[in-house]
Amino acid sequence: MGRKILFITTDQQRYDTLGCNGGVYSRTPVVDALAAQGVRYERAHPQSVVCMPSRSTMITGQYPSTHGVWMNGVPLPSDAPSIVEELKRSGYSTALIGKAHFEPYLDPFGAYPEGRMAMAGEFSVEDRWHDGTMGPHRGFDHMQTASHGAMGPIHYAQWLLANHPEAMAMYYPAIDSALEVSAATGGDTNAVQTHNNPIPRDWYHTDWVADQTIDWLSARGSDEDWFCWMSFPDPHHPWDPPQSELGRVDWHDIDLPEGYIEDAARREAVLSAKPRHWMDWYEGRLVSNFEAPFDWVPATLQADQLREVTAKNAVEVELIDEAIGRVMATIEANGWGDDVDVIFTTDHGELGGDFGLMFKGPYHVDGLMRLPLIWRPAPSAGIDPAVVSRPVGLVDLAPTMAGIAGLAPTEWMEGKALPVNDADADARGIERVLTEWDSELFGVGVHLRTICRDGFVCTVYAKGTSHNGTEGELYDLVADPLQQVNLFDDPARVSLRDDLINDLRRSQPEQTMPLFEVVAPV
Amino acid sequence: MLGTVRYQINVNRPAAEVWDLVGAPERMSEWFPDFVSSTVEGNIRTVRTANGIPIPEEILVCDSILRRFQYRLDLPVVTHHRGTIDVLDLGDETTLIVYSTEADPRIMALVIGAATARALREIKRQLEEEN
Repeated sequence: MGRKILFITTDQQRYDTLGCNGGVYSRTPVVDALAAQGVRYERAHPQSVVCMPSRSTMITGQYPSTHGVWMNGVPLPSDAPSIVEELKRSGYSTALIGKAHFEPYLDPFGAYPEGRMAMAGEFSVEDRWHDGTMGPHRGFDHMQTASHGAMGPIHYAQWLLANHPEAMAMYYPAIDSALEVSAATGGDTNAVQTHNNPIPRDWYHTDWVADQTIDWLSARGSDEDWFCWMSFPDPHHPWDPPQSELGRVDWHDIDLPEGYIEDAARREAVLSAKPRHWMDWYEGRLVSNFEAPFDWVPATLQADQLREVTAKNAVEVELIDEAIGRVMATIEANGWGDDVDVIFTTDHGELGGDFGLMFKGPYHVDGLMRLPLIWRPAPSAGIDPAVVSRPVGLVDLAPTMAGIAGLAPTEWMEGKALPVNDADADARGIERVLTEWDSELFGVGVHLRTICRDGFVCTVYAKGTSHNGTEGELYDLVADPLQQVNLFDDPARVSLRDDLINDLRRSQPEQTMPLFEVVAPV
Repeated sequence: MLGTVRYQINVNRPAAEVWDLVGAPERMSEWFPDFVSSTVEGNIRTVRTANGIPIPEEILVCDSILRRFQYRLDLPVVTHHRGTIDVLDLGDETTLIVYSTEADPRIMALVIGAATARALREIKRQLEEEN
């Protein structure tokens, strides 16, 4: 019997929403305890700040340039490398319960297995693996999918329709009649993508994901090795947690986020010192990506709306923490406690009011890039608790999981197993993390490459709709933790900037060509 | 909002042979992987997806001289659609197929266009590998 793995992901969660990371609005005692018992990472970045590329990095252990999911709407090929296939091959029982999103949600022709399985009420389908052998799709014995509401080809929607059809319309409809991310407003302040959801908590997708996880774990034998990816759709927008829970965090009590610059003139001056697409989006001239509401202008965001969004986000984070607590209790009750590794992270962050912006897009700053990441090694492994300050990435998860299972990293993995402390990181040369953005949609193209090293984050831009290829951003994360002072053109920083850019060019994998087709918006 | 997506592919077979396949509306399910059947009554073609959903399409142009096929699908979510297939003789016994999708909302142009890209690859595979 080996170590079992509970891999917990959330969606679009900021680093600063956890108590262990300094968050003050959500009570997160379960995740905080995992952090205290394990390794907490202070500088973990995704390799893409949107869902499909980032989730593809988690499962493949590759950068988007390599796995080919270069933007949302590009499906990960069924025969892409998968750490789950490696675990399955070595004897693990495997499951993904919650948000998958390796394939597009908008799949009206039933072209992709995730949607087909859900619509057929099935939980597994035979498919071709990376090495050519046949096995369950991506290595999962059991896939039971959820997303941010009751729309789309997902198991949760089918369950809700069968059991509580009256609840289907209780959620905020995240997509409008034009199939764009909705700009409809709601809640107490008419905030965008915000809604007071009358759904009972027991029917909400967070508790559903935990319930299904508990059911799957309860069916495992005591000596069985298992890998369970428990993937919560929250706290991604829409911000519509069950209304019954809103009393946990009163939005009237919320202080505006540190990254929100209250003075509009100063906010706009900061945005103007960044590459042009920042201000273009803020003022509503250009929505360069699908992940933000097409008809919403960030400059219209009001302070109380941001307070309400922050409060509802905090409620969603609390519900996740409590759901994890129930699953951990099941693990303890089954006597597995000493042999289970728990990894908690998210796929990317949320702008959350920083610079007057919300949602996500081609903006490589901490709101989107600095992620919560906690690894609570199985107590039987004897790894001491630690806090790691060196930069790591989600690309490092697959080799970490391989190591937990006693497997050597495969040749296709591009990351390194997560360090267990800073000394381990230094000994293994772990000192940089890279993030990519590419999007090309209806004539609007944006292309960024970013490196974080030595306490600086440096982004370069290729030619695109808003950029001529000379733009960039450079921030000193120590002196300017909110990334409000762009040093890219500071003569005193030219040498540092050029060194970081050269390092980025050397370290960045070549992009797989030709690019895979974009088949849907998300 | 209207969106337009266009895919094209070169096929190493004569244009007349390509047109024999794509210009026959009842044969669409042979080369469009997302459809399991296609039937024609008058100028209405009905295709059926793997999910069992029937999609009626109005045939607007089927011109064997120009080798152009144009149609409009009828789905509640789509307020406007034009699908256009042009089979272009490159003069060297090879063919360029251009498949254009225009749709409102624009998202549907993206989604339908992706399906047409899969169809183009299937046409090429069938005509080149099976001949």
